[in-house]
Amino acid sequence: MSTGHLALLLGLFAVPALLLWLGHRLHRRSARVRGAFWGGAVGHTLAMCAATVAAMYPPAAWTGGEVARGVLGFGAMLGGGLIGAVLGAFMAVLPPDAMPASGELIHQRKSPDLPKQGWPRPRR
Amino acid sequence: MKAPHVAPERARTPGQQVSRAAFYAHLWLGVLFTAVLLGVSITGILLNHKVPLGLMPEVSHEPTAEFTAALPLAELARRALEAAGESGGIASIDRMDVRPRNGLVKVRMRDPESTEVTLDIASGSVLHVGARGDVFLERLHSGEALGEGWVLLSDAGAIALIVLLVSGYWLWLWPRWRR
Repeated sequence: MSTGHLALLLGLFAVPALLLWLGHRLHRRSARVRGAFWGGAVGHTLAMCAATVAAMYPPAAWTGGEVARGVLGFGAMLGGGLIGAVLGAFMAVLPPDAMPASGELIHQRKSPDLPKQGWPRPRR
Repeated sequence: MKAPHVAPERARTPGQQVSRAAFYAHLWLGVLFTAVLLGVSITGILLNHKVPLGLMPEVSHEPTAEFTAALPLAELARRALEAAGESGGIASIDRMDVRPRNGLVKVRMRDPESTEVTLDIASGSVLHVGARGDVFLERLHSGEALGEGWVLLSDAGAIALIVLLVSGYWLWLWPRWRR
């Protein structure tokens, strides 16, 4: 089994399984885990669409040294899920109003006046 | 220190146990096989409409002579190779699909485009030369495009779909049956 095939299998089954596990009793988990879950779910879904489109490309349209198709087709779901989870976990600890200002994010996070958990907990 | 309160385990009826198993089977298999079933479904739809989508050429033809007057296969193969511009000899041919009712033969090459040459079996004249876009889609649909043994992936997807259907019906009908 090649590295590409392994990445495909992990993206197909390991990432969704991890997300299912993370999503179990999500409301009881920390903001970081909830952010990782939503980031991973969005990243994996988008990557799944990209991988499906890349897989449909007919072989006649492939070029010799093409890398993008292989990366998208085999690794997108693994990479998309993991990158989304990391981004989601990072963004979850930021206050909602500080999200877009990338230059000030680190400064604002360290500010003691702001709450640590940016995303509100759902009502039970 | 006071021990945390733990809710006592409720005794479940066999029906409730099956419902619980059906729920988790539906949830886990639904999420785990989303990408596989998405790929199989999309390729299946494309394959169903391969002629209108231009993935497979549709050559309408009537026989020009009796089937007994057809040219030998070797001659038809030679003409097809010439029309496709293939220099690899007979090894470049994947298959020859003879249609006596239409008086034609489809000769498919083993190239990335899956070039197909359609010839009149009696005169040997070339009726059509073009790529078969559906060949790769078929291989993707079955999982063969990923390599040997990957058909098991589409098998697993099919089994997952059956379990999803059965568990879905159980979760829908079982609560109504109990009322």
